Amino acid sequence: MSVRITLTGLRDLEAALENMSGKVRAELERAVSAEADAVVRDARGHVRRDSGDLAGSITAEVSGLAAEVRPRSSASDEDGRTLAIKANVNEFGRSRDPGQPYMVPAAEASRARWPGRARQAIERGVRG
Amino acid sequence: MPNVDVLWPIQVAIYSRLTGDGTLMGKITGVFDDVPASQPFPYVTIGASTSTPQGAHDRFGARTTTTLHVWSTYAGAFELLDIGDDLMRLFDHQPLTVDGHHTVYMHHQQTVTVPDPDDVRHLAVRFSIETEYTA
Repeated sequence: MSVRITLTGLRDLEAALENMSGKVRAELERAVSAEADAVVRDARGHVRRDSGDLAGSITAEVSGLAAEVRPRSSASDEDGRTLAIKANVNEFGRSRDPGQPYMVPAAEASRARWPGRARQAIERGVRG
Repeated sequence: MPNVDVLWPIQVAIYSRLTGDGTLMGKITGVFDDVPASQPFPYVTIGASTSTPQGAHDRFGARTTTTLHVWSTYAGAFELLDIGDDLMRLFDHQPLTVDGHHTVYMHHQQTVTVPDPDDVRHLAVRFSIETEYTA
């Protein structure tokens, strides 16, 4: 004797899962963007200010689920090389100046904050 | 039981391990967190640290990142990177003995050769350390 089981509604279930997946992704993308903004705020808050140009150059580029936060010459009056030296000297110091890290503290704060933000985004996506 | 900050015990442990290593100390003129004027090169400095909470319901804990710096005037990268290699040997996956704390792990996180406007060669080596308060 064989038992035959027919499942109905799988296509609807598949569509619902696909829809949910899209919502989760959209929520996660919003969370990534919000987290990148928070890292920018933190880094600008930590960095030493003279003219304020280095602080102003710290920007985020967000693409889907990836974000990169760093000083950018496109957001500065300095050329790329000058800004890179200024950014590194401020972060890592020089032989007679211990510097004042601003990117590492911002990254470490993000490391601690991100799991909670991601969890909330996934929950929002699942609930729809 | 109140929590305590782990930064100073970690700095003491790092300093102790650095200055206790004969191979490293044979290559450098000293280990500092504040470099005396006219200190001859090469030397190592203990730089900035960042500590974030990493506890659990029943215990305090912290994740700390500390950056060690190598400074050299040697013409070329060899001296800088050779000393940097000693830092890796001494600290990467080599848990520290931190007074009052249990070290969960100590990992190398990043090494950066830093352009320096003073004609000094500069290497920044960052480690992450997770600790639990035990005292």
